[in-house]
Amino acid sequence: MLFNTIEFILFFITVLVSIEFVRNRKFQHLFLLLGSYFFFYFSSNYLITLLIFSTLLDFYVGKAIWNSNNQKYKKLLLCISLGGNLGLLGFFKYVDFGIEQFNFIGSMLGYDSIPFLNIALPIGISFYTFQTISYTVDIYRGHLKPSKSLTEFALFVSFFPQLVAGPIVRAKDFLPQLREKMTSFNKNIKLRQIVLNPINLKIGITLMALGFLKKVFFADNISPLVNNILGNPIGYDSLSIMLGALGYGIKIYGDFSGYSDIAIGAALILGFKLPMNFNKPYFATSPSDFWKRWHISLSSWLKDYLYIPLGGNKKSRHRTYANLLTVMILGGLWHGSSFNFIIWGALHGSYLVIHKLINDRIPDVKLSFFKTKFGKIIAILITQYFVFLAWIPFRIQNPDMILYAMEKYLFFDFQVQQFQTTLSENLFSTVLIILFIILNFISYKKNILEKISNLRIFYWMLFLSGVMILILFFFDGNSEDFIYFKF
Amino acid sequence: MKKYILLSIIIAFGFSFSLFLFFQQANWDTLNPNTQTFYLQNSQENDSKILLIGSSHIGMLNATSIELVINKKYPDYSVYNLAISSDKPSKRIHELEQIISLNPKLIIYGVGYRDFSNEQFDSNFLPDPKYFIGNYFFENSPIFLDNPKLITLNVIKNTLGYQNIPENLEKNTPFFPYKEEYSNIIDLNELEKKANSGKSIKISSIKENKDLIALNKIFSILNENNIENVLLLTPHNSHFVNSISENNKENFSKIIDDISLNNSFPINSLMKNYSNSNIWISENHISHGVDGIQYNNDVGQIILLALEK
Repeated sequence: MLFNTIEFILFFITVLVSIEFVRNRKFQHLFLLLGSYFFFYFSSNYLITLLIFSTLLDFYVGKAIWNSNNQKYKKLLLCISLGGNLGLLGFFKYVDFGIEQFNFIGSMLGYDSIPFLNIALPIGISFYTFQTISYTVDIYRGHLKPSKSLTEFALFVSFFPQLVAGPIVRAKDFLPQLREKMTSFNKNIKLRQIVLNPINLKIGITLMALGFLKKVFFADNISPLVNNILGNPIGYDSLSIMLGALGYGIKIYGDFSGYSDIAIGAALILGFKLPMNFNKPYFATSPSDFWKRWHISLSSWLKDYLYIPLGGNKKSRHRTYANLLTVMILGGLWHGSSFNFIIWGALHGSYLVIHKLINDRIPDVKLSFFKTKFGKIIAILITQYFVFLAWIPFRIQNPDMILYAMEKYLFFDFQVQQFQTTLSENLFSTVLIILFIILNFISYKKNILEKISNLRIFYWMLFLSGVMILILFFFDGNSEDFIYFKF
Repeated sequence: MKKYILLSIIIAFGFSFSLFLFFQQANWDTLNPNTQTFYLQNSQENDSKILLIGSSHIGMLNATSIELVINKKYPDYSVYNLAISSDKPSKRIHELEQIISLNPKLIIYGVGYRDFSNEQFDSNFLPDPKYFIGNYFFENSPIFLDNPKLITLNVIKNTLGYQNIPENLEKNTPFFPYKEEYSNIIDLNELEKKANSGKSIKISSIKENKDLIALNKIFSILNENNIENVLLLTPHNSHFVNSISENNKENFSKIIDDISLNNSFPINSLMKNYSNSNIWISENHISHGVDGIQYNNDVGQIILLALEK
């Protein structure tokens, strides 16, 4: 079920009303679980079985790991969980990609090609398998006690606001929220009930409204410009390509952070706190800073469950560089079974390696310029120039087109007249890009969410009406998928 | 406090939706700026009208040359091609009142595979709730929310003094502007490549197909207004037909059977007539130029047959 559809609004209202009227903790958990399964079933139909499989596997494996004293047995159980989840992910997401590569090599060696399986990619599989993996690994490491109740664990895996595109929630952050003691809401009840609290409701709705605005008004309306330019960039001039890359960077940010805002807002209304997924990424002053601000739940997951187990930065310098590159390439591949994502990951990996090299080789004194106000602006511009360059292979799949667009982006061709045509053909999207940049600048120093949530009720209502008017009036008739649904 | 928050959400929803619906209905005509003028002018005239309705498949027909065929036997009849690019029955139903205001003697409604296609999971074997909900909204929607953005942008453009009326519109083909490339024939091999590289269409079953529901409703309303109809199955290139899965073809033929069961008018098929001829400008469209003359003549004959009855 897409957030940006009437179906979701109806579904969400039904959930809220049911939870408000039946205040029994066990019922609420079960109801939320069944609601989440319906939410998933609505879009994924029979593929819900994979979600249930992953849930059952990790619930029982996690328990068995916790109860065992034998280290070898624990390791074996961990391997079963990893094999099950990564096997699921690998089969459904990468099998056709593997067959394609096999056929390519096979054709050179004279073998017959294997037919593709044409498997539909289960929505959200990359997210929920990562959640269940982190649960089992945390139990194996002794950082987490297993969940006592299957309903609670299943709710952690399938909680509908974050089920299909994150944020990737850790069990240690989510499960305690189901069992917190009541303090402020109702003193007679010891264990946590879900109560619609007015503060959470106001902040949650504000966050959801901002998310919808980012996704439906900005991202979806910038989309035509991106499709026009990066859909087939051959023939476009440098400035147009740059505009396309800028547009795509803003589109994917509006799309994904918009989704995250809606998810976090919806969860907050229900009384759950989900981790922040974005923190003004386009103000990052270095590649490593960017990854502390962009898709935070994934980058921290990759750090904890891949980078550190590989040795992180605790071994030799060269090993650190290799680890960074490996993690980013695998991170790229996580987004999809295609070479363009590998290129995107490799580019970000190289940025991180180069940044680390500079920090390792050049003394701090010489880099002190970048700590001044002007230096920070320069650092932001340099970082973002390369971040937007990397969006080109993220968007385009065809290798010739990637090369063409990247060459135009890097080597300026001074064809200003052609750019004017591009601008006039994509006027509305360009205006939105400029508007988005201005709003981004305003939000840099001010906490817009807090300001809006603290508005007096009349002005807050005006804000909501304004957002809805913008969304409705500029809706193009198609509820566009969120980009990260495909990952 | 909670009550005030909920109340303000309801008011905000109510206000913005009301404003939106009012704005959409008031500016519906901007989607096709020529629409209002055409209907206003032609509803006053008392000529015997034959209307061709459908998407670009029908748009490729030349109303003037069909009229010449008809006028040999029935000199008082005028032919109007009311095709709209990417039209579907679920869109057209919202223009029905205006169509009826023209008081036509006969309507030729052209449909092909694309008129009933939508995005759907082919492989779902469990019941799909979104179709129940989707159809409910479709049946009860006050207006068809096709592309609100286009209406908003058109109103902004009009306010700023830009004209939206497209060029190359014929008097008897008011909503389908002709372009030069509509006469450029494409090689059959090229067509095969295009058909195979394009998005395959997905046709949902008769119970879930909102375009079928709309088309049956259109015919029932036209019938109530004593307007004669003919359903025309538009021609398709063989490569395009080959790219459609058997399941989708079966759904399409069930749709046509359903229309046939619910209505008493004739169904004429030109689906396979020119499937391998060298007259195609794309995998779905026959040339609007001289190469497509046979298509015009055949439709002319279908109309003559209907008039004779």
